[in-house]
Amino acid sequence: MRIPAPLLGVALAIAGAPALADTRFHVDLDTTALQSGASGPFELLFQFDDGSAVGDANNVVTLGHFVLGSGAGIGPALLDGGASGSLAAGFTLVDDNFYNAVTQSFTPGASLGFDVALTTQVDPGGTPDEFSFALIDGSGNLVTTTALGNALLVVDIDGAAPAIQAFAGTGDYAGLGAPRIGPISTIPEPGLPALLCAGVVVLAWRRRSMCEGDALR
Amino acid sequence: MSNQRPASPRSQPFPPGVRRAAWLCTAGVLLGAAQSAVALTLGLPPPVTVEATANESATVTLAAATVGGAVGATTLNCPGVGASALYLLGTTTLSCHVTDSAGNAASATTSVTIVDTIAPVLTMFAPITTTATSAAGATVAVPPPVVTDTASVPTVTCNPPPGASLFTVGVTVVTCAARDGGGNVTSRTSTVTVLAPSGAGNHATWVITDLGTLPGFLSSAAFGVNNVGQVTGSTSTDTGVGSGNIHGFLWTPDRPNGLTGAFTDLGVATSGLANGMKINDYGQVAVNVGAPSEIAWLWTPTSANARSGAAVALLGTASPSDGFGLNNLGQVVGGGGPAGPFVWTPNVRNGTSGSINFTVAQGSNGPYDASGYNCHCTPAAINDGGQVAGSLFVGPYARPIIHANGAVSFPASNPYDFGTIGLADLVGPQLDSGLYEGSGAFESINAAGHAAGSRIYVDAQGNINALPVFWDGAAFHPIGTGLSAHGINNQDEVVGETWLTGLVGQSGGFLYSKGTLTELRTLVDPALGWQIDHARSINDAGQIVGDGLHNGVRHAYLLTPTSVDVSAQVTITRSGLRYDPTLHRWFQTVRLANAGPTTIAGPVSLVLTNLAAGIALATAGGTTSVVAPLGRPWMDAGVASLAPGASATLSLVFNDPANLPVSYATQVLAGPGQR
Repeated sequence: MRIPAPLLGVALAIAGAPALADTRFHVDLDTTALQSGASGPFELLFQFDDGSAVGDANNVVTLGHFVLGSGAGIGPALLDGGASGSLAAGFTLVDDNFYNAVTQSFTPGASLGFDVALTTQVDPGGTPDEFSFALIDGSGNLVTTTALGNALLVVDIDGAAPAIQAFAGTGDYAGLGAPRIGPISTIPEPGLPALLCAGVVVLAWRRRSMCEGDALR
Repeated sequence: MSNQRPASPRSQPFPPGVRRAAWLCTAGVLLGAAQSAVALTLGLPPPVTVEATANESATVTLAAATVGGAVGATTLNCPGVGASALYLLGTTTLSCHVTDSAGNAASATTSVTIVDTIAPVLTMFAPITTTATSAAGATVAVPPPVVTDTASVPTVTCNPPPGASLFTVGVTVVTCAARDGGGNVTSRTSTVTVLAPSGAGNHATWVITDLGTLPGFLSSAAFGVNNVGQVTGSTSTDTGVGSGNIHGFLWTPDRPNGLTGAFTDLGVATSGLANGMKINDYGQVAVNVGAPSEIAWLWTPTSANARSGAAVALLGTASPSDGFGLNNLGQVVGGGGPAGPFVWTPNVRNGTSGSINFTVAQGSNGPYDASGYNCHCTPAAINDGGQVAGSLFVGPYARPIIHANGAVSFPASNPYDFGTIGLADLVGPQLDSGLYEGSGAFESINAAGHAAGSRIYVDAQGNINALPVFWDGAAFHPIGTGLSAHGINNQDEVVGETWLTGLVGQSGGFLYSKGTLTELRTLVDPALGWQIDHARSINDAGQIVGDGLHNGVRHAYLLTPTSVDVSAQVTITRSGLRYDPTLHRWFQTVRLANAGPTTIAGPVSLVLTNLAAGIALATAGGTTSVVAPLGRPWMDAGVASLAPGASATLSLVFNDPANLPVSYATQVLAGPGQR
């Protein structure tokens, strides 16, 4: 049975740790360099391209929790192929077409952040499914990066734990650093405050010990 | 009824449907007789969802509508309810409306939703294993998958598509996806495994092509080959090329450096000797018409490398001379006839009108030029830099010379003369035979000014012999033990004739490269019946032309080095594809790793077989012209060799204006030969 992409996206969002999502990470990008230039507005370009070339619909990418700093999205996103969703609700890309993409205009703030969750079924034909993230400037050109094809972020689904490759801007966008990849930040776990308190206690104890040591000298 | 009590209002019969109103009246609430206090109700079956059964539709039977609280007769308009009907994929809303005699009305809706949640069932063919029938692999007929679906006829897409196609050595995964009308997708895979033929090795291979003759002719010989693989030469009505009715020919491959092609009769002589001598990359041919007419012709195609064209007599038909060489600009050098040595320079590149520059007056063994040399000199070749190679007689003895008298420009006026000799006196002491040791002639020159020809030498037994020589710009390099060299390419590879090892008094064609001489007979399977007598020209692709006896008949040949299919030894790892929607280009990296135990000699090229139509490899270095499948784009990996375990990564760029799915199979070729 095929789960319609929008429903799958909702299901993933609700589940929080969906069983299908084998890889999840958070992306942060300092977009200060984009604020100062006159080459905006910019577009976010998320692609999920099917390695089998036949649209085998065996993987899904979910994007959510967008943070644009002081920036904002402009209008609805352009959705291609198996893409659905919105900036506010999050996007879902299913590789049920060869080319599946989200193009979202936005005014950059100081930073850009979002969560990514993707499944990791490996296509057997030799070319893996690929998720990538790039920016398009106001001139309609891809923001140049060190990557072939000017991507800022690339994930080739070639195994259960695919590498997450980040690339920095070049040329006119040399000031645009590579995206920082990290774990998805969630509401703190119940034990986290206790751990924080314990950490504070340890730090205080160490500080006092050092002071006492100084006094003995 | 008259003896009966008047009917009380309570017992007064009411029209159907207003009893409840009367009832309410008795409760002291006056209601109009026609106004029911109980609403007219219309009950419909609840919405239903049904799985599609065929053609993305299903037949659904709905229960009948129920009407309540009606006053008098009712009129029910409720299409589809209480009946069986065919419903298409999606939701169909059914609206009903009922009225009664009292004017009461009620409406209600229900719906029928047809869904397709059942994905197609796709069954792939069983894995296929076969053995390669050539270095390119094997042609395998791939059956289509069997697809069934409960509700529709799904569309099926496979990569590579079903049908007969060439599969390279190795395992190729065939992926098919079936999509039904409800958008459900099922994908499955199978494999085609092509085993390498036994005995396949990592060695350069050569293919010899018998160019045949013009229709009605019996023999042929080739003298020149350009860098796209066009060949020129002569063909005869006799079994020997030097006799009979002889025509110059042009042979043009169907694709650059390909193995199949077609002849053009240069049509410059209806009698006598007509030799296509040299050919440039534009496809112009310098044609030499021999005695008694001795007229230098230049045949020029209608467009670059076209098979049709026309010839002009450079010096006119009244001024005999021979044309021997031309460069890519269209300059022709010639001489040897009464008109003397000349350079003909076109007014525009590859033009058909130009000017002649006679260098010195000509006479029989004199007069002499300003340097005191008899001008019985023969320029044989000219490179794009304007350097002319040939021979110059000193008295009765020729010596190889190279002139370098200035750059080429258009229009040019008298850019050359033969008064300056580029080399020092190369002639050694006079031999007892009367020949001068060291005398000889150049026959060809490459872009670097390196030349090939022959010189006279005395062997250990005191015999005077002709020796093929390669001039590297600074020194002569002898080649083998004899006889002569005719052609040189820009890789300093030289071809000519030499005495064959182990066959006393018998000569044959040779290839000299990087200090090593190879007899051409060793490159061709003896079972093919070739005796390669002459090798006269070599292009930058390494293709060699000449003539020999093929099953006893003298024919021109084209000897083409071919690269080797090393697909079975290479592991290919592709990245995913990403699209630049602003440039309509796809990008992908492909890593080639040598998984075998031996070093793969380069260059190493990745060939994309079965590249989807409408998509072009923008980074291609060319298309396959020799190794099947022909016409496929290939890209060089940029490595001289791949040691075991070593790898090279290629960055592929595809032009895809229609954003079509990019798919292809791969083949890896190695070695210096043609792709």
